[in-house]
Amino acid sequence: MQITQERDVVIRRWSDIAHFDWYLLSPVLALVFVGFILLSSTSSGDFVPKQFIFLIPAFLCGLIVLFVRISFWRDVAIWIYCINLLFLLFVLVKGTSAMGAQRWIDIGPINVQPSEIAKIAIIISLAAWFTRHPIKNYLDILISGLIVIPPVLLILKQPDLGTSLTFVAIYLTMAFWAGANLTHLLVVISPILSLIFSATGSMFCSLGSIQAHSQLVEFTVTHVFLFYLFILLVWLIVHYKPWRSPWIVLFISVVLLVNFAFGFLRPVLWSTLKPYQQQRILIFLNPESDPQGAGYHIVQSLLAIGNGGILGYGWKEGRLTKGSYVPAQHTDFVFSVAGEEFGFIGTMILVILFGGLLCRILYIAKNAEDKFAGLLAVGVFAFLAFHIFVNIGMTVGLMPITGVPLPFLSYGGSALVVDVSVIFLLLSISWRVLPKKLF
Amino acid sequence: MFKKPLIPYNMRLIFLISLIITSFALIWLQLYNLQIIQSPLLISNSNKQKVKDTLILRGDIRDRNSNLLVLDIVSYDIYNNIKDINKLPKDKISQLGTILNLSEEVLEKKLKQKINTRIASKVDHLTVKKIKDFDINFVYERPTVTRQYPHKHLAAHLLGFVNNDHIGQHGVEYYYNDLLMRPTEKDPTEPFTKGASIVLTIDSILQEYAEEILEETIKKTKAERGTVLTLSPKTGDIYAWATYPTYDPNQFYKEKHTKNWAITDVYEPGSTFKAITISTALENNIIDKNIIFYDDGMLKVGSRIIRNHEKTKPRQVDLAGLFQHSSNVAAAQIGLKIEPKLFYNSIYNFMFGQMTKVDLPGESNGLLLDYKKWREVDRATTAIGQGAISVTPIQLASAISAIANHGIWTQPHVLKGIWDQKYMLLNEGPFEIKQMQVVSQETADYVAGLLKNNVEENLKAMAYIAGDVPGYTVAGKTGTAQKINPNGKGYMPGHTIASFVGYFPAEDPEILMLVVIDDPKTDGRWGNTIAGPVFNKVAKMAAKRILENT
Repeated sequence: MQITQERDVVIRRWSDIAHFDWYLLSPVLALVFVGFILLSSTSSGDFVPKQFIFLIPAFLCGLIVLFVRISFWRDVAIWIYCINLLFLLFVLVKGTSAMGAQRWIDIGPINVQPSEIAKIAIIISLAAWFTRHPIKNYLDILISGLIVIPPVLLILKQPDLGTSLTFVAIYLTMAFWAGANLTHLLVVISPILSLIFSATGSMFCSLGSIQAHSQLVEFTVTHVFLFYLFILLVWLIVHYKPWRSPWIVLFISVVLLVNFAFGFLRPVLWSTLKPYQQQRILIFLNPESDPQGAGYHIVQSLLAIGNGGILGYGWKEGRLTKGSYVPAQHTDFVFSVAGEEFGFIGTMILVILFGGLLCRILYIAKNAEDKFAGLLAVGVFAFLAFHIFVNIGMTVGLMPITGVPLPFLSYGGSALVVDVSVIFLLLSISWRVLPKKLF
Repeated sequence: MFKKPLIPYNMRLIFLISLIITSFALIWLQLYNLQIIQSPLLISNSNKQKVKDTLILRGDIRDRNSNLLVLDIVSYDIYNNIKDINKLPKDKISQLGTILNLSEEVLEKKLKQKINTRIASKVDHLTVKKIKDFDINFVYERPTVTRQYPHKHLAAHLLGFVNNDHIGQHGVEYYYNDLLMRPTEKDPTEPFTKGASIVLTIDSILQEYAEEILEETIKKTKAERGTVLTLSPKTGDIYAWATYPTYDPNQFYKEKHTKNWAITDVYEPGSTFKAITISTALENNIIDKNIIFYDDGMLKVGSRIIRNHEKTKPRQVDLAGLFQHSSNVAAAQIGLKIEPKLFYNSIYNFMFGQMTKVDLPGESNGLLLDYKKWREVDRATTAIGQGAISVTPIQLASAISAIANHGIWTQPHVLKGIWDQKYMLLNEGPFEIKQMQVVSQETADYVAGLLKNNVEENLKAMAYIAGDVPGYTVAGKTGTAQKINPNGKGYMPGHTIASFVGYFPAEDPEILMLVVIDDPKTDGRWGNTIAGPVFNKVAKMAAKRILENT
């Protein structure tokens, strides 16, 4: 089935409100409801009424989004992008700091987190760009990449690694939907993979050492890095069949050389970092190295989830939750509370709700009225999928700890408004198309 | 060249869906692993975490006669458990006010604070019982524990103290922290589990007396610091170890002198070390027992001149005379005869330059310069207890113990026994006390005889004050070492460290005592005149307490 421009667009009115895509809306409503149940059982109460108040702007924004034509977003995309950049600059200059990061702007009585809004902005901007410029070659990737890099750098500066990575995930997924194939994406991210793999595994050989920045820097090649380069080479050969043209041979050699250079120069890049920066990255990669800090979080989270067993201790009965052992239990580690109080059954229901939601979003993306709407839906998919996987992965010990909230469940006004708004954006897409074709 | 047909949407959809399915399968597997397979293990792990939070009392510490030195006292903090004070009946608040001895307004103010704030601290269990009896349920209590040292300064450096987390920080509190915290079988009549109690070898009455005399002497002689160490040469039991300046462990946070200098710091032992020099020389047949030295009051070694303490006419001295007159020149002559390597090894054998492994924390190795670095003059000065050697008081006391105890060195220690909560003996010492022959019995006994003769003759000649303990023959040696300048090279002129080491009864030693007074300013600053009287007084008391048991 191909998405075509001639799909019928339905004009919607208030009276059609019952024709929502309930397959999309019902898991969301269920999740928001579960969110309140979990919030009310966290040990340091008082979050329920606040979060309840946030529901009002969330659904207000949602309803506004619902009645806006999809093509409107495409028309104003350039303005959204520019205003978003201004906001991010503003937060760096005049923002409020909390917990070592400058992420908030005070607007009267409320604090706004522009990096949350930036997620919607970048989805709309990229969707508008990719609609007119589908990815056919590396030049397209380079140009579209230039759209994402400024906001990513501004958010990295805050610093907020989790959100920056969300942008990367959104970009890769949307580029993929806009025509990039896996080889394109692999080549784009291969230097980063080189940096990671050259630092892992056992040493294969040493290529000498130099004195740089008053540290002795040793150049080493690990087994893992060699294996990675080999896989990359095989992939490129299989994909591009280099015997067809000498230019392809040259291209593959350049890619491999760049990769090797990145892996080779990693120690030098590392030594240019200040010791405290090195420390931050090490703790990010290995939280157990700081058992009192980040390591404490993950240990308590695993204990809480394991304590739940099959059925859990029951609502408001979680022992570790009530004892305030589980850290950040109303925000980043809300899933651990669910794990302890509702057990395996409860977490399964949550995982199924999230999974169903994501599948439905892809379904909407496939059947959207036009390319732009489809790209919007895929962007939202990438955004939610990344947050869900990274957050749950973090609480169950599969992922390093980054401050990524769990959509709909974690406490937080900006996040709730953005999450509900993007769902209503999807509802708006499906509302205009789906009834005729699908129901 | 690189243009390829776009992947059809269906394929992309399938790829993204499979990505989602893979990630969710991973999460599902991990949840299954955590919540089904590993659940019992994780539950028990988290229970351990909870157990840590319940109160375990530290064990008591008692002296050798079972006098209580340290104990844990449980008190209760009262916390607010009500959100809205207006719902409370007034009379209940006033009842609580009378029980806690607070006026109604103050109490109301406290209760109006957030839930779970503390409204009263350290009340006893009778008050808690009263609160329960009056059926007051808008507050709850939480037990807290304080470590009490009822004798305050007594043996503070030996006992140590506990920090605010109830963890031992110095002395036996630190050294036996795990033992004191290790839960023993619970006494059903007691509300809390308690760690093992320990009994020390010290005698608190002797300890108190020694501390009193030491403080008196230091104040009188305007000295900087001092220590009196009494132990058994045979068993290594430390009977008393007074150290000044001292502190009150009950309020360690206010105190400056929590460091036990007598175990962490070193001093040059001076003439007391001559016993080690002579033992080494005799043991290795470097000198004969009948050797005669010519002592003209000074000895030139390289560019340095070694002098006796007092100017004397040139004379002949034998080994007995060497001790009697504390002849530095004669001892230096012996030192020059001994090969540095041999001398070094012998000193090391006497457990200098290494820890005695006494069961107290912070022990220093002492200083023993490697023989390869010795200059010519170091051979001579080391023989008189300066130069290449610096010792901790416990090192010197146990080395002299070895000479007193027929050449057998015994590890000094303070732990005597371990008891549980119901005062059942769990384990009685000695606990693998290290004993070893560091010098032959013949040599040790001969040197012991010289030390005994030294005190006898000097007392007879009215030259010694030290060693006068009625009813007992004392063997011993004074020491007056120059004080090293802590800020640079060389010695500080006019500053000394006065010491006396002695033991009695001389024939069958039971008690050995080392007195060290750092930097006295009166009485000629001599070991004999400063440390001697301290020795005499404390030794009399020790004889009474330990030998006569009264």
